[in-house]
Amino acid sequence: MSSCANPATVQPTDLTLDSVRARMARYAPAVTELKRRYPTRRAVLLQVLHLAQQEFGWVPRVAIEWAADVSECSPVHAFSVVEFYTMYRQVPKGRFLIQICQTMCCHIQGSEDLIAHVEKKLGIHAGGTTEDHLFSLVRVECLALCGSGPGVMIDDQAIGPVPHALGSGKLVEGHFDSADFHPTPAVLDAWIDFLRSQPEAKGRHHEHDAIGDIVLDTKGHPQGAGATAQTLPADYFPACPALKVAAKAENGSVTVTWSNDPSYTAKAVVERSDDGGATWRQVADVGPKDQKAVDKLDAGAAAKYRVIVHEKTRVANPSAVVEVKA
Amino acid sequence: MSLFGFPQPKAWKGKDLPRVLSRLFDVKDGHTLAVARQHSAYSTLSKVLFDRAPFQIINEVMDSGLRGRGGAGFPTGMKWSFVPRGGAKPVYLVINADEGEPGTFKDRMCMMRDPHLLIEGMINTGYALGVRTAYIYVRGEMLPQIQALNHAIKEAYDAGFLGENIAGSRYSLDIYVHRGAGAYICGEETGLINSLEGFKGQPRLKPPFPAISGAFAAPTVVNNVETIMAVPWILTHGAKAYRQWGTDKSPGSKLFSISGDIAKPGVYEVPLAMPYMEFFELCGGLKGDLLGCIPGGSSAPVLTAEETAKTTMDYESLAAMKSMLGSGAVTPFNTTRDPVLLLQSIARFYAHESCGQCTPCREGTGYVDRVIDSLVDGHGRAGDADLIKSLADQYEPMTTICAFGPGAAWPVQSFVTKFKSHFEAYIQRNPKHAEARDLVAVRPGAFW
Repeated sequence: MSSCANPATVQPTDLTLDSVRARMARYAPAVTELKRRYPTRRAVLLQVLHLAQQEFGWVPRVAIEWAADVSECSPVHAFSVVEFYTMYRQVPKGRFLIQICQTMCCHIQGSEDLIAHVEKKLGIHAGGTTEDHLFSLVRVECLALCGSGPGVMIDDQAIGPVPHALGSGKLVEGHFDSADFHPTPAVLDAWIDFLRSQPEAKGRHHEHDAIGDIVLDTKGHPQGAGATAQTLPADYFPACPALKVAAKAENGSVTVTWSNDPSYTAKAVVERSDDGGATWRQVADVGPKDQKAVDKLDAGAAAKYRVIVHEKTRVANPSAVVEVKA
Repeated sequence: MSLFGFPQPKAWKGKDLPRVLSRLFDVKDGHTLAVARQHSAYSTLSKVLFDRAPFQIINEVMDSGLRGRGGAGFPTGMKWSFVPRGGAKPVYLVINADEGEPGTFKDRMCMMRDPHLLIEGMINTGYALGVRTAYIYVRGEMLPQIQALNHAIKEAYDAGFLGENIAGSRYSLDIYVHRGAGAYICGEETGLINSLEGFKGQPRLKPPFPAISGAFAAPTVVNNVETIMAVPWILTHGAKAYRQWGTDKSPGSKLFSISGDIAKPGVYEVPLAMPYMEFFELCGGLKGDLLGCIPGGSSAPVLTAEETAKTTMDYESLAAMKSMLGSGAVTPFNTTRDPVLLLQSIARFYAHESCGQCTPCREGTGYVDRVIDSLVDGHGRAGDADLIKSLADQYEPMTTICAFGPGAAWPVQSFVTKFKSHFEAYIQRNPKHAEARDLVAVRPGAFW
């Protein structure tokens, strides 16, 4: 839901690529970490756009150019991405962004009445910003707050019954623990009045880390820029054993079947014991995909079989023993 | 435990309710490692996992019959088995936490209350697939969940459960959280992959399927949060134990998020194949007389009250009703609700969220939305119900790259068919309803 303002008319004239770089310098640890995490540079684009929006409260065009530069893609690509996703704001918003869900479940729970109430309270239409630049109100689609609807988010959190200062400390999901909480006009009034009275209301627009306090010292993706992570060794797991081993005697011969993982197996060896498992001798040596071997067994005789799977460099533990009587 | 602090019965009809996914939902500070460890978090990072070869893990999950909980219900073990092994390219695991299907709010709960179970499930899955780097793609609006996940990931790194040589094994895994930026379509797996790579979240043509060529042109498995959270329990207790719940084709338990005209909305974990009416009872009962129920998120075709009464909550029973279990969002509505206004809000949602890539969906969803708006505004025409349905019929039968088109069409077709009298009533309100509709105002290309 975009605002009516035309992005072209609201670009700050004093913003240059260099001044954006200077302002974004404080995010350098996060940007370095992000570049480590993905095999391509372009993959950081959405994340650095979030950081730019954290800094400016919206994404001016020069900041989009900066994001394109960081993620090594063309500015026109970054513009198209900003256009596509609804969370990037191309025009400035008020200090507090109130989002109210209008979809199905919230519609049932009275979102239209709530939106009308807030519009009246703030003296603006949905999509607009109050004259003191304190509140912006937007209609949004499903916020996944259907159970405690109508879903309302102020800035980055779903609201609860008790208003609390935004912009410091951890994010709270206040709707979680209170039985049967639903945002009513009275609750919204309380929130709006409370936020108006906050001294920080006039201050900076954004406070929380826009990418959610990521871990800053990981080893990254093996192909990431400046990463030290190693790829996985081929033998990070024990050699693949043979499973579901079964043996069936018929007309003087025995068919042993099993399952293993042919993508790792080099061969499978079938062993037989005629002395109850004391000694074993090899009766078959088959390829990885066969998973079946035939052996002779005279009528009335009994034998035990087991399967040992060989990988290129490793040998698995012997399978469970199966006994068969002809 | 339900989401909003309502007490949920621990047992139902004399049987304990499953706690596969919700074990920490009602435990104070269950999201912290210390408390989660007391409830056996990371207990699979032992011989349960590391003494088994990957294909044994995949077989176990396949035997359990676990199906994807994001909406499509594809068998999870089978999806994993498509991933080629030992190739030159790395394998990626991407968790789909882009929860946005109207009516669904289970993943929001899962990530906030039990992030360590998701991480443990990802380690289990990553081990089975040979994954070195995994991503969690979280919906942009869920910043508190992203914080919670990053906090849990930090705890897991510090405890040696993530990073190199996890818990003393030879297996290494890194998990990164990726914040989305607000687009319903990024919940579609190839749209999600495009978004992860820094593109617009428009779905890709399949084939190639992600299991062969997905993120960064490498084999990729995309699984829902809830699907992966069931894996540690299955590995610990075995596939057979998981099948104690549900039916042969829909085994196990599932989280259902219920909202609408119900006494105690919230997230509930119940065995699959529970009758809907029994589930309503468990959630404190319906408010008013049931008119209909949307059984699986807004994409699922609506059920009338009679259909709801004879349906159970599992994949095959809903398929027999020509609807679907979807993401497990249950939205009953009573006779005081207006199905036309409900469909209006659904149609507006899909018109807003169509990614614009395929013409039938981009133009069709807007077209339907404008006709319904015109109907609601008192400008209905005699043939409107049929017009709406015939439009939806054109983007329903997979004429589009992804399943958004069918998903947008099913509610339109089912509402118009099953609640036709309500639409007719709107049409009758217009004294000039017999006149032909001026299609110029609503046709594709009209400004909206």
